[in-house]
Amino acid sequence: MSSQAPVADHLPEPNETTMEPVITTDALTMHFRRCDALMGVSLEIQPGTVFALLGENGAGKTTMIRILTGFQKPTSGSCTVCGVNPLRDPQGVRRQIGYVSDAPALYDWMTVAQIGGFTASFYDDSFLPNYEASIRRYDIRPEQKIRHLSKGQRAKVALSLALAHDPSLLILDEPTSGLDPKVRRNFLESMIDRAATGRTVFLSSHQISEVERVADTIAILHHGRIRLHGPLAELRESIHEVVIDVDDPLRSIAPPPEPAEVLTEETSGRSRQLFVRHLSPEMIHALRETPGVTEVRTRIATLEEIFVACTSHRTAPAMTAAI
Amino acid sequence: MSASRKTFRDRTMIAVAMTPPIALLLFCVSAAATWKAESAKIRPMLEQSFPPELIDSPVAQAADYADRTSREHTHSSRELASAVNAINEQYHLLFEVLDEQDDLFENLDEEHPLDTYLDDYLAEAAPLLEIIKQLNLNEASIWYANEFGNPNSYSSGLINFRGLPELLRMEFRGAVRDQQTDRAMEAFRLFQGLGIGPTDQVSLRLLPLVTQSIATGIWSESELDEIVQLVKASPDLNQAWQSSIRSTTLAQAPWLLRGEVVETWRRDPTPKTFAPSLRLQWLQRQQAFSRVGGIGTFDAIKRVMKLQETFRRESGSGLDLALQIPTYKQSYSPGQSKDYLATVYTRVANERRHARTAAAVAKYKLKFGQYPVTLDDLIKVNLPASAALDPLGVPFHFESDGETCELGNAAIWFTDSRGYSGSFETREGTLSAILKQFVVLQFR
Amino acid sequence: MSTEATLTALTTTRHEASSTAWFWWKETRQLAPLVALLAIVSLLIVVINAVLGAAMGWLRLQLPHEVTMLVFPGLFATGAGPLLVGQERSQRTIDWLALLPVSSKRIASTKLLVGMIGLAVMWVFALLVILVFELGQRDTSHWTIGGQTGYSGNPFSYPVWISHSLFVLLAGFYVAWRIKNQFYSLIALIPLAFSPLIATSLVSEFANRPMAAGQLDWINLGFTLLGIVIVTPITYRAAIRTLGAAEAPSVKPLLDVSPHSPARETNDAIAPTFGTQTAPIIWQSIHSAKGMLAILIGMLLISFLAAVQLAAVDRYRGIIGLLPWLLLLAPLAVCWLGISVFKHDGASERVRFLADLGVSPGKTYFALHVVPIAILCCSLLVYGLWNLTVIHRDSVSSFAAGLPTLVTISMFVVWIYSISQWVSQFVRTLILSVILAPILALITAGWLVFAYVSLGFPIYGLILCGLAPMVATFVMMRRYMDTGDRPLTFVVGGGVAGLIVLLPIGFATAHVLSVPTMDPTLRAELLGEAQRDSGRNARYVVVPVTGFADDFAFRHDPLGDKMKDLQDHLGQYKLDPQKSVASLKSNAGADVVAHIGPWEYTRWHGNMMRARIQWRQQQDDPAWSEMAQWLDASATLLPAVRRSTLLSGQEIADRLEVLMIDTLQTDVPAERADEPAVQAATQAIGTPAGRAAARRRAVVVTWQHNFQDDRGRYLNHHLTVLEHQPPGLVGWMQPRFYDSLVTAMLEGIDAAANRSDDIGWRWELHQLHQTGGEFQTSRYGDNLRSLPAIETMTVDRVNGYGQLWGRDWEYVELKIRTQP
Repeated sequence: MSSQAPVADHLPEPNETTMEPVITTDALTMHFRRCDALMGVSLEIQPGTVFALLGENGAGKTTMIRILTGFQKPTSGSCTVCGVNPLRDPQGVRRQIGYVSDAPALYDWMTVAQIGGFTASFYDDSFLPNYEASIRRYDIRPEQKIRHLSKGQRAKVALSLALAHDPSLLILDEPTSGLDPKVRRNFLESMIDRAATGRTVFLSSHQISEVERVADTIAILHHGRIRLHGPLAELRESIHEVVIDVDDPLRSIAPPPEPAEVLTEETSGRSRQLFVRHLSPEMIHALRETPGVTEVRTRIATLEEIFVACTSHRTAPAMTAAI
Repeated sequence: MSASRKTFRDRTMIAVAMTPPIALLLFCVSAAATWKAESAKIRPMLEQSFPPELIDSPVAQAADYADRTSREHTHSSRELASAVNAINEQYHLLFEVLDEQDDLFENLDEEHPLDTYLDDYLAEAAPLLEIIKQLNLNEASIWYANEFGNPNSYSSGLINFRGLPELLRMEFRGAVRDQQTDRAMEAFRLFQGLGIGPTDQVSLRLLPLVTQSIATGIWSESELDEIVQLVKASPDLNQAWQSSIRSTTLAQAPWLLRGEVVETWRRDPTPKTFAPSLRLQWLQRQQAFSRVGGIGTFDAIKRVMKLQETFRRESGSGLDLALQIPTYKQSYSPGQSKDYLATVYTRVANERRHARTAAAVAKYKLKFGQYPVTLDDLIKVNLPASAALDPLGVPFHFESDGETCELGNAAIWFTDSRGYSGSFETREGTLSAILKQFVVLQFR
Repeated sequence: MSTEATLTALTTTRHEASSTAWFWWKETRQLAPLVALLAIVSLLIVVINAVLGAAMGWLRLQLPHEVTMLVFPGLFATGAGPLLVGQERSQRTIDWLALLPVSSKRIASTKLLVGMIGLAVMWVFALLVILVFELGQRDTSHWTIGGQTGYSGNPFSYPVWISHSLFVLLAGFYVAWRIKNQFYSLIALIPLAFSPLIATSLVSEFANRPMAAGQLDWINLGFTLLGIVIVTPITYRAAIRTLGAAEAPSVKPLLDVSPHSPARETNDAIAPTFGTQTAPIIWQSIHSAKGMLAILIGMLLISFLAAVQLAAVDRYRGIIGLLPWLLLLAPLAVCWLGISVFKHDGASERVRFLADLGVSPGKTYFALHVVPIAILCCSLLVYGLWNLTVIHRDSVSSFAAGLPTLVTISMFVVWIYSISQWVSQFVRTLILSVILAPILALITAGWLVFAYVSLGFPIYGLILCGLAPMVATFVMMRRYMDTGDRPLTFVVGGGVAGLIVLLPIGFATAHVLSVPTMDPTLRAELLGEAQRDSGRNARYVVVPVTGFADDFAFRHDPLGDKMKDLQDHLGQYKLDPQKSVASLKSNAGADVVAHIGPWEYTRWHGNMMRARIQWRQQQDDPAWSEMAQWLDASATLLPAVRRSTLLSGQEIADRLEVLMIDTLQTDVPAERADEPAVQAATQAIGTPAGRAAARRRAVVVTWQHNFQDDRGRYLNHHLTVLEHQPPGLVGWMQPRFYDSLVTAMLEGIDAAANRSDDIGWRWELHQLHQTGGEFQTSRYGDNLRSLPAIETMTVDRVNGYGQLWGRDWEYVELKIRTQP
């Protein structure tokens, strides 16, 4: 059932050396007592890219991250992070990554400086200057106790701690929730230049606008399955929104032929809205020819629409088989 | 949250929350109600045995005592008592020698001439004896000015009670030595007049001396009859038993009615309360003891001990015990233990039977010129066989060969396993306590 | 720019410290509150013990000091594991810690090492205090295992205590790593910590005979070491497993049902509906801590069953010996029920949820309290009903006999519950509150019992002190729900503690002050008089009075020849009055003070009475001469005794004077009135004024001695009123009662002097000497005072001063007095 996305499917990025992927997961499955978090997820994330994992709340993003960081054993399947299996050597994985959870749990009785010093003692000497620079950048007073910081300030401190040792892989779980717009903007820019310097960023979020500006490749997770996986730019062109106006509401329209896949289909009165992937101009032309079609309009789908399309569970069952 | 219709879950939650406290409250309220009901029962029970004004008088015992005594006798008896005490202390050495002699059953006069000292004592005590005779004291008349009801342990100021009986005992001994039977009879009559209740103190008992005097054979037949009459006239044991219980209960009236602790030997500072059911139970137990009949017999002792054993094993289960502070069992038992009293009474009864038997033997000797062979012969001097029995209901120890005879105050040689040789199958410590002084009279 | 510099300076200086240093700093910083708490509480208990020891000699309501000190390292060991590990797990900082490049082995071992070092420090502190304060019994050596000789408050030797606390520390870490829910881990810790003791008593049960303390010591040490050997590896494994990846739940749904299919509908999905507002909160507080409430009810049940078993058996050996320990589960359960009110779902952040919904603090307070109170009421009801069936008799079982009543038990429950629910609101972390609450409850209960028993604190006061913490938490509820209660709660807490401590003291002070002291003017006047009197130092002469039968116990010699003894010594016991007063007569010039006690006076009284009776009977010259002897001797003795500055001396003088007056009035015929002896006797009889002066001087001198140089022996008459005061206050009230005694006596003396029969001073003296008695039938009452003094006076003892003052004998006019 799990199909390995063909490597050749997308053009290698210009700066991507064909090195071994940072994160690979092989049919990760995770069943909890009452829900199935992951249903066989297989991914590969190339170094030096900003990978965004999109999904609704409760889609299984956090569980995925906990498995990647070695906090959780999957029910079946395996994964490797930076070439290391987190189950076998969690410490090795955690040494190389920076992880910021959605609600960072820090020692609230420590001051900002103390927690910086405490964490720095476990890393090399470069940790503390970076940390202090970022703290100054976010203008947080170092002698303040974490207990008295606001939610946003606490998120900034967690970010600074995660970034200070310049990890090769940065895993962020809804990092910008609670950040003010100004800080959010320059945080996202820092993500872009981090990726530029060859480090990977694994971003899990449901802020479409934020992902659109930053992500290189995205994956849409819905009910524990990867609905869509691929480079953002390519995905964006490959998915079109097709609106077909028909003269008679009851007329049924045949779906476009094979290489194209219909993500979702919606009919309202005399017009039908389709989200189709791999739509070729001939298919649009053929549609216009079909009898009873008064008009066909197509345009590139925005990421948001793609996301909604992928996660609305009215997708035809065939859809899952396709990818 | 609009107060819509109460769902089933609501009712269970409120029930879970409300029922235990309400149940506990009900338990405490019923305990308080029981407390009220029980305390209401105490007074009627008291009034069955005591007049209401006696119970309500501030000090029940004082009122009870005052109207039974005469002021005039009190004045002279106070003087008499202090004088007798002084002279008795002065001659205490003489007392010790005489007491020791009684134990040895023989007369040591040959080696130790006591008569001189005895006569000095009697000479000095003669005026006191006159006053005793003139006053013809009886137990009712003497009122020792005592601050009844005043718990101050020093307040009693009761003049030492032992002086008079010891004086009369010495007088009786002197008379017997001088074989003046009228003097002896007079002393015996005065002694009975004092109406000393059954007691365990040797110095407060004359009957053993009388019995020994009978063995010496100095009494004539009429005098023997008079002695037997006097013994019969001494206070009835059942009556004494009832009155001792009565006075103990009367003294506890404040405790019974209001729970105020009547003076115990040492005041217990921890504040305590007593549930009325506990007090009612104590009162019922006192009445159970007072219903024990046949005081003075061995069965009485057994019945009393059985009662005590059941009381020891049972505790009140009244609801109002829960409101007592601080524990369920508040130990409170004024007065002497009842089995001890029963034992003493039985000893006194035995001494009386022994005296009458000795008198009968002596009368038999006077009438028939020789001692009876067995105790059954005493029927001839109209002493029924049943009167010659020791507490166990076994005839007295009696050996006689016509010329001389021996009469012991119990059937077989009693010794107590505590330090004395031999033992016997009765419960250790009971009968032997009764007959510790096993007396054997030698009739010559 | 300067701030920049300082900031960098501030932070940079720290960074070169190594990670181990930082790690240890963090762990110790987390342990600090526990160590502080234990240090404060240990000092608190030592102070309380000192106070109790001093105030109540007769009731040793104290823990032996050394056990108090030994318990604290144990408490530290209990708290260290849950605090270092359980706290981090519950606040999820463990995940962040695990993110650091630190191996889980190092995390676990560092935490354990910090715990051990802390334990070592606590041990050093405890043993230091024991050695400094000499708390242990000197006669038993505590350092040799099994070397216990004789009874010592602490059955086990120190090495066993130390190894046991180490075992408890390891067990604490094990339960903290193994069990995620903090409360369950603590509950699991109790049996684990006591397992060596349980094993030891099991061994003694099977050995079926009580074992000497030494053997128990060794067996306990053996089991403790075995425990350490077992627990260490499993603790390490539990730590690694917890710090590693969490296990995936193994259960696999039977059939692969799509998430929204009806098959998944379980009744959980149906939302519970409520009509009223309080029911949901009650429902929530039950369901939030179902497991914990079940455990606490279980603990109550276990201790109840232990009580039932103890009430049916009267010999505690072997495993039965452990039952009394199980009884301790009940107060602990009550305590932790109180803790559960403001912890778990009562904790401030959860309660905010209700605050946000606009539920009133009062309703929340009631709802949070309602479940524990329901449980407590249920258990009290069961206790009450069970006691209806129990025979409370020593013969059946000494345990059953000593059972406190329902009212007493509910009072203790109220105290423990209210104190612990206040602690649960006051202390934030569960671990500290779970350890602190029992100790504070114990101290409060001990103090209030001491106040009730020893300070005479009334019952409604006890109830007030019991409910004060409940009121405090109710008042703080609104702020607590907004988590803004921090600063004010200290103030309210201080207020509650102050109330509980000061209310009994307030009552006691009011009780003490209710007895008036002597007013200053009278005091100054008495002092002046005392100065004037102290000038004359009269010579004291003791009047030899023979005729006593010396104590039989000392003289009893069964082998001695009583006859010889009689012949030799009988003569010594004759009392010759002239010989006794010879010394007084010899220096009749100087005013000599005679000293004769009440017991000696009985002989004088008795012999004189015998002489009078003899004279009445015989009416001849020898009898008269003998009585005249006594009259003459008395005439010499009376003035000497009257001069005595002892109150008992004055009482004897009164009795002698009553005797002489009675003799002169009744036994002296008119024709012998002019005999020298009679004249001397008549002269010796004093006047009311003279007597008043002598008595006043005696009172002043006795009071002065008692007040100035504390030679209390003069005013040593035992005041019965002291027996009726709360034992703790007797010391405070004694001087005040002596003051009122002196005031009353002075009043009495004046009343006697000018023959007024006012009742005030007599009532006061009666209250002082015969508290609890009836005034009418006492010697201060009118009934007895109306009788002639000779009939009612106590001769052999003085059971109250002033019983003869102002009675008719003082004012009698002797007809036969011929000369003035």
